[in-house]
Amino acid sequence: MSEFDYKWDNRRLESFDSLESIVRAAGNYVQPTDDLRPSTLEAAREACSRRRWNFRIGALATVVILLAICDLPSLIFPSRAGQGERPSQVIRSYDLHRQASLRMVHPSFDSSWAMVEAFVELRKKQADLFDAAM
Amino acid sequence: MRMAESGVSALAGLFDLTSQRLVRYAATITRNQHDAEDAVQAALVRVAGHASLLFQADYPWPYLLRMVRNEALVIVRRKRRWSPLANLSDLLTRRLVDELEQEESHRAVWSALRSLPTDQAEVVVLKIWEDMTFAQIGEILGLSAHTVASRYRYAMEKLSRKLTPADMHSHRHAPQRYRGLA
Repeated sequence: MSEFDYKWDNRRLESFDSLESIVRAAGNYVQPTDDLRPSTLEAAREACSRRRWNFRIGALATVVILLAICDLPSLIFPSRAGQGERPSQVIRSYDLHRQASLRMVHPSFDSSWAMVEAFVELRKKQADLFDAAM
Repeated sequence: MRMAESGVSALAGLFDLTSQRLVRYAATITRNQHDAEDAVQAALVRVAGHASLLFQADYPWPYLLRMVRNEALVIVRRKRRWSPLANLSDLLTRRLVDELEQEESHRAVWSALRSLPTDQAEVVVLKIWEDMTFAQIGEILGLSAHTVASRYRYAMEKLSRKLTPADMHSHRHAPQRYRGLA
């Protein structure tokens, strides 16, 4: 207790002693209602549950955002990213037809054989790349 | 510490220990028991969610009182449900058989407290019912000890005019003439 409190409590407020005792006696007169306890505990339980769900949703959103940021180039430019990484493994029917049509310049050249030759050449290129990689 | 470890389950123990004192303090501010209980509930729910707020405080009990006070002030500002008259109809009171003769006295005290300005009434409540010093009350209310002491003196002077011991004695036998009774 500070000196100030001591002075107040012992000099100027002495006259209120009896009044203080009357007020003090009424301290326990008012009681909480019976439903305050269960409602408070239920509210606390709901708040904790809500906070847990918010945390989980936040963590999930963070993971999704991180994945999206890390894989963003492939999401935006999927064809370019695929070509850059594995150019030799991309096989399209359009390319095979184009190679076959280049062989069909001579009128006696059959289109089926042109396709066979284009395919054989493609497999040969792939085999060379595979040998080089090994 | 138990609050931090077991969360909501420990809140029941804290509620049993503190609810009555918190409600009577909040009722001094809100002037309505329903709003006071809303304030106490909001404060205790916050404690359950952030137990570290309480157990890391230097003085947990004044800290909890301040939390309840803040919640009560929020409710008062939002609802503007002031009842300046000394109407005690909202209060849930305890009536023990051996204290029936004191009930009029208790009602008169509560009625007189409600007739005081809030800033004076809460000083009286903290000083007398919580046994706090003026310095401790000042920390809760954000005031200097001198200001708190002045408010206490003004409040007690007003209360003494409403609740003099002579009146208390005479009105105990004639409660219908009790000054300050609702």
